[in-house]
Amino acid sequence: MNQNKNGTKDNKKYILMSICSVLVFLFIWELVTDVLGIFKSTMLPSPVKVFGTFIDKFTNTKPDGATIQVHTLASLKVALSGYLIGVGIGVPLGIAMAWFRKVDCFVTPLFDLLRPVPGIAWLPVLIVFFGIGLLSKAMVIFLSAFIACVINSYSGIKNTRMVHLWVGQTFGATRSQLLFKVAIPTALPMIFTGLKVALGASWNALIAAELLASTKGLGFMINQARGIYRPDIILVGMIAVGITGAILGYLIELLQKLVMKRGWRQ
Amino acid sequence: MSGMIQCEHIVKKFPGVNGDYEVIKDISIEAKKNEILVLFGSGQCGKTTLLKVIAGLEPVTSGKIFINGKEKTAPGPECGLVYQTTVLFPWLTTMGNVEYGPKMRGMSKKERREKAQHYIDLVGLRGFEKSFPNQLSGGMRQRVGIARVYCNEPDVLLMDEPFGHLDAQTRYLMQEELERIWQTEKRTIVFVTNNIEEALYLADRVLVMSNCPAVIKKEFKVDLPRPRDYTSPEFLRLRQEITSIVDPAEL
Repeated sequence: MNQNKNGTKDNKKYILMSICSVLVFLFIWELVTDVLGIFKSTMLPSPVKVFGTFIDKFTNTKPDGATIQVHTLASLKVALSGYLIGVGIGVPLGIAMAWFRKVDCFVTPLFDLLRPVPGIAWLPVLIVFFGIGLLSKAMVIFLSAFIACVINSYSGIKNTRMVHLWVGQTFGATRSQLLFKVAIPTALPMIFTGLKVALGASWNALIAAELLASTKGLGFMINQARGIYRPDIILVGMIAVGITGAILGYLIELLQKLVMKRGWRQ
Repeated sequence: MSGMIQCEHIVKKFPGVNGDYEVIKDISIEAKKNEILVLFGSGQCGKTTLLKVIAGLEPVTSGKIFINGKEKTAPGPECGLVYQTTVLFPWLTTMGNVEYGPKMRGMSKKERREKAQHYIDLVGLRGFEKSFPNQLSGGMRQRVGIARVYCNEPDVLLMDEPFGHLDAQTRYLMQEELERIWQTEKRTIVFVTNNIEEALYLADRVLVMSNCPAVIKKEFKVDLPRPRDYTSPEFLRLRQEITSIVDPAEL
């Protein structure tokens, strides 16, 4: 396992370099704000200030009416509900479209028409119907997640190799066994790609929706801060968006590792 | 029904731009129980199509196929296929692949595990039960492929150039292995190859096929004692004889 040894060595180097890059970035940021004063703090606050505001926002509900945890949870609630519905409908639909010819003929043309419309473009229509509450935002997220799930599950199933289906058939597998024991395992890596893309799309769509129309959530907090010239809160909001998104991405990677064992990885 | 496989006047045409394209032209073959029948032919002469037709994966244009006395119209567990390239399921371990057939047919876990273990031992892969296909060498993967088919207990094993993608050394080894496995547990095997030595090493009978449309040119009975010696005079004589009837223009 020579390779492995080299692997950990490379890994250490990689981590060290990443830390360096972040430190250099923070250093330059501090330099152009507090130290040299090139940017005024009303325009670009220093990292020290942003960090202070970040800690402060855990307990301080001003100026936007809630702490950062409350905003994050509000955003997560909307994002995850829309996401889960999108996955719940999108993945089975994508599989059905790829597996059953009739479904393919019936649904695909309609789907191809809707596909290029970004989820967020639905927002004005949805606000007219449902107002600016949870429902319209959840719908936007649903649409964003749904499309990514359908596309990836569809291509995943279409990747099924003919010979694998033959093997299944000569082993006496029924049509549904071919779907569940040959096609879906083949498609699983692609389905997971879909889940990941959909999660990213959901989170992006949510923040965009919140910037446009909302009463709480991280996007709302950012938008409020913009209105009252608090760039430090804007940056805190962006950092919270980034961290939460990264954690969600990490969780889904973890799920994938649990579900997909070694044989899937090449 | 005298044989395990009985094909009567099989014709297979594929629809083409300039009318139908005839791939198999009136082939009748018969294989006895526990016989190794080798279909030998060069290049694209419709051997694979013939196997697929026998397996029920392609419908015949005309003619009839009987497996163990029953007419074959759809794919099913009475014919097991071993393919040229590895077509193991990459998401399953050796054990998972070998027990796949019995699992599809609803055999209990304990029973099918026992059975799968028996065939994994038979092909000499004990200790590799938990390995995934991408962790095995080409030869080992084909062993899994053979165990997987054996484990499903088909009446007939159809092998489509199973060793075609292996390097020469492994190929010899696998021919010996297949013979050993077959000697231990005899089955009816139809083996397709374009390698003349492989054909003579394994076959009870060799059917030499001509190019598209495929017809059977000649039949050779090989009753040399097993295991065969690639360099014995009889072996070389047969080899010479078969080579002489293969049209060089078809190669």
